[in-house]
Amino acid sequence: MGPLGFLHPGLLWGLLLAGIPIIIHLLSKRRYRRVRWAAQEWLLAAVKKSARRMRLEQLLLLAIRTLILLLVALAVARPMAEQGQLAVFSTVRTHRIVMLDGSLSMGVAVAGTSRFDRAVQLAESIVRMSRPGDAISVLLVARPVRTVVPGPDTNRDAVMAELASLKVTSGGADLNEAFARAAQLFELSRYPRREVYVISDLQRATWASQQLTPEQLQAIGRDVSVVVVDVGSENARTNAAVTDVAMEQPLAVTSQPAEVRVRVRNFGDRPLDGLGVEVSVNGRTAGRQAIRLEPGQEREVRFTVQFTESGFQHLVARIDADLLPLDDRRWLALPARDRIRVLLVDGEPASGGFEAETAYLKVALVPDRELAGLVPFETEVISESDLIDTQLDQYDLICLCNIGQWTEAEANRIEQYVRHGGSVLIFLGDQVEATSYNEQLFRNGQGLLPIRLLDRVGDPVQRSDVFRLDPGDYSHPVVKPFEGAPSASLVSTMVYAYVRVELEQATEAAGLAVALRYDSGDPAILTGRFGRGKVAVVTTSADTEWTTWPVWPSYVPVMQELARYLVAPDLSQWNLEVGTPIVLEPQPTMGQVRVSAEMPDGSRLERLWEADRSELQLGETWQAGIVRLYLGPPDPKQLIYAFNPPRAESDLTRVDPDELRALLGGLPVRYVRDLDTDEDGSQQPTRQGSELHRPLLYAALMLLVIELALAWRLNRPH
Amino acid sequence: MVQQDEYVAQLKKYLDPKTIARISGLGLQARLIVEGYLSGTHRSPYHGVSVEFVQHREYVPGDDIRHVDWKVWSRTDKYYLKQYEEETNLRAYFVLDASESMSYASGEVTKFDYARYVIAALCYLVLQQQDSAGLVVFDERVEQYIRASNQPSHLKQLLHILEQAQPQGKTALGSSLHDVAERVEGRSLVVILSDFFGDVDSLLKGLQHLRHRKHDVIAMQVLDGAELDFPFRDSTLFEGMEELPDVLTDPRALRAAYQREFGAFVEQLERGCLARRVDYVRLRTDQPLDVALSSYLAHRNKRLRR
Repeated sequence: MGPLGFLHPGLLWGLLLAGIPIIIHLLSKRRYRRVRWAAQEWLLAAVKKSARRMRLEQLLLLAIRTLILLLVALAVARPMAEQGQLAVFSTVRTHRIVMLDGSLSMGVAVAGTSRFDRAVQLAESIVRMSRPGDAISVLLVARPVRTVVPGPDTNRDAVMAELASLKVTSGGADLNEAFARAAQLFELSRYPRREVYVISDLQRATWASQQLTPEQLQAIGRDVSVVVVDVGSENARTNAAVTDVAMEQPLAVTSQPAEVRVRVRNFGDRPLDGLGVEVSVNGRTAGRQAIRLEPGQEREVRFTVQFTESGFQHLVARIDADLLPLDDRRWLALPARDRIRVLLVDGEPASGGFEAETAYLKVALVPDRELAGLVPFETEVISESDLIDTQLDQYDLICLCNIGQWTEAEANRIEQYVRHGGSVLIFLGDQVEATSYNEQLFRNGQGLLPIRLLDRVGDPVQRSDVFRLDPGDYSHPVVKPFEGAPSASLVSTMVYAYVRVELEQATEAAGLAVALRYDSGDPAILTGRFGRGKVAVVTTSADTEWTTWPVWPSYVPVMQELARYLVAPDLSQWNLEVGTPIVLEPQPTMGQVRVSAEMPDGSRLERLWEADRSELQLGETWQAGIVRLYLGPPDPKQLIYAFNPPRAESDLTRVDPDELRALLGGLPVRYVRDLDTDEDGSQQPTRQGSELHRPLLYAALMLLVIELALAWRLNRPH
Repeated sequence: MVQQDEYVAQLKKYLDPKTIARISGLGLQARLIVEGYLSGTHRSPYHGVSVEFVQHREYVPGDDIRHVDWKVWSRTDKYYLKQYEEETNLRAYFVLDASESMSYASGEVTKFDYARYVIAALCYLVLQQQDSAGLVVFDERVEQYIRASNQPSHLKQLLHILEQAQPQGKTALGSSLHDVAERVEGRSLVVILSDFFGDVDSLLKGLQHLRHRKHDVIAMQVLDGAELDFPFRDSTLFEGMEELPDVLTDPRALRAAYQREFGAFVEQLERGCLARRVDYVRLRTDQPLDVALSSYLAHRNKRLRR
């Protein structure tokens, strides 16, 4: 039906009624009265003279009657000039840029048809109504913006095919970028008339969050007419979303159950009761709860899951589907470990008892053989001198306890190890030579040591000064478990000597944080980052030489937490927002690598990566879900990434037309509404008056008058 | 007086062709028509007739006692009737068209029936007035020819022939009238009752022939109301009579054109009659029968005064 849409397309069957006059006409030819007629001679003469005129009159009457019924049947089906308002009957060759809002909120679906579906239909009708010489460009306004048809393309079929293949993304929309691209496209085109159609749901998150600068809008050109087509007026007011899914402990081990926190928010204006929240691990359901959410309320729901195998795992948290299904799920990709291997480097080795520097620490990490199943740590002790010969990258954590001096080679090895993701825990002690540490490890902020070491405070022999530990506001993850637990005796721990450090010189970029201080104010435990790894410094000794801490009850939990903190992976590298590219850093040891990516929608991307030369960037991440990256051959390896929608997209608040005009200030904007649709799916005609049934009925009425007049004229007595 | 009026009204209704059609027997019908007609007039057409006394004749039961010569009775005590000879010697020939087209009726009374009532009534009237009446029934050719006679018993024969006649076959007005013109003796009044459907030119030639023979001619065209008004509405198949083809048509759309054609025919006929000094009378089968009677009597009076 071209640019016509119908509110009640089912009633179009009524068009068949138009056949009634024709059927009556045909039947009347078959049904007639018989009269034996005497004055046949004059009848024959009359027929001979007026047959032609009669046939014409009859056909005219028949046509009018058929047309009346056609018009009435059409009017009953309530035709909408959905696109009639868009139609620009211009005789000038026109370049039209269609910007389709591809953000997540366009996935709101009422009665099986999403906003995006309608947007695509509208775009198709814009293409259809274009005259043969007109050109089309199509932009999918997502984040990042995708140029679907760079154009100006005059091949309608090609444009239609591209439109049909478009899918709504799970991300946001970058309007700034879209307008910038439009300006670029117009710069290249040579068409005298230019139009921009923005088909969007006018979601506040898309429109009001980005400041469209006047310069950007002006760049499109003053003579460009902008039509904003609103496809979001169906007033969907209920939406709940999973806003976050996170691990209580970033370190997942197969030997221990792990806690998952799922945050769910009700963005709608009515309470949700019995909303199902479900978590599954690697496709298997791990738990389900039903919750109640008041309008605007956000709740955290906790689940306990158990990872059964090591390697990359993926977790899905989902809620019962609603009008916007795209934000009802959130994914988490993370590696799970069987064991955590810890290398203890002893600067003061001894055999037997607790003489050795690392003895307490070793017990703290693996308190009991019987507990070995519950504690993931596995320790190995070497002496300082063995450090240079040990293959370091097989360990997750290296504890350097009371190492006296550093050679350049040792420092380089350990630095290299941390740079590539290893973690180091440094304990100080009586053998530590601060200058060697500062020269080799601190290197004026360039090394892995995050701070410069100063002098020793306190006397470990006389034990004249006693320092106690001060966890401050318990904000650091290492001491957070002690908050509100005075019996854990953390604050009663006594320290007799420690090394002062120079915090002022510490570089902010190192991600330096003080986990624990002494009551003198100096740091006791510092954590920092180096390369992809983490570093922690404990400014006192690992054994009882400078402190009674190792025999104090708080020692074991703090050390456990510290070790876990240091080996915990940074999940953000695998958990990305939709639209963020996957970036793999160059790998000098690898050559050319075949990369295959399995996208959330099941499609596959194949790349050949010169791993030793350049980084790999995969940008086509518009869909939420799990992306599996297969590297190799050679050396096959699998990585899992989780892509999640931006939280702001779940809020379906809209900007109103006046606000819209203000946002697009300075541009001549025409605002067109698609349809008012209620949530129950029933559609109401827009108040914009694009309905056609009234003029159709008027036309039918006029024809009826004409029919009566004509029929009267034909049958009147002469 | 009231009773008289009621009686008159009773008689008058027999002038309606629909009423008379319900009465059986052409003789009774003829008498009722004539009496219905006469009941309204004060001057009897039987009186004032200029006649010449011829002879007396003895009364026999059934004779009209008005013609009894009471002077003879007073002298002889016997009933004698005066007998008169017609001074004018009027001979009327009634020519009835019995072609198929005459069988058409939109209502109860066919054109043929109507024509028969008229002829029967006129025969009755003519014979009552001591005039002579003859009858010709024709379709393609002259089927029946009864010579004119003024005998009262003649009526019976005339009515019998009329009752026997059936409308069938084609019309050949011209040739039939030529035939009539040749057969009718002396100067007679020829009253033709027909729809005159057919070739107008040959008809007019026939009339011309009759006029040439010094006959007075009254052409009474019997038409059905439907033939003039064409009141049909629905799609109709008009089946042709007298071997004309059928026509299926929407009569409403055709009405005007038909009426134009038919009007032209009637007008041509009327003019032709006028030109040949033939009296033309149009009779509609839905009209009372007195039109025919009046025009006959008017014509007779005119002729008698000449």
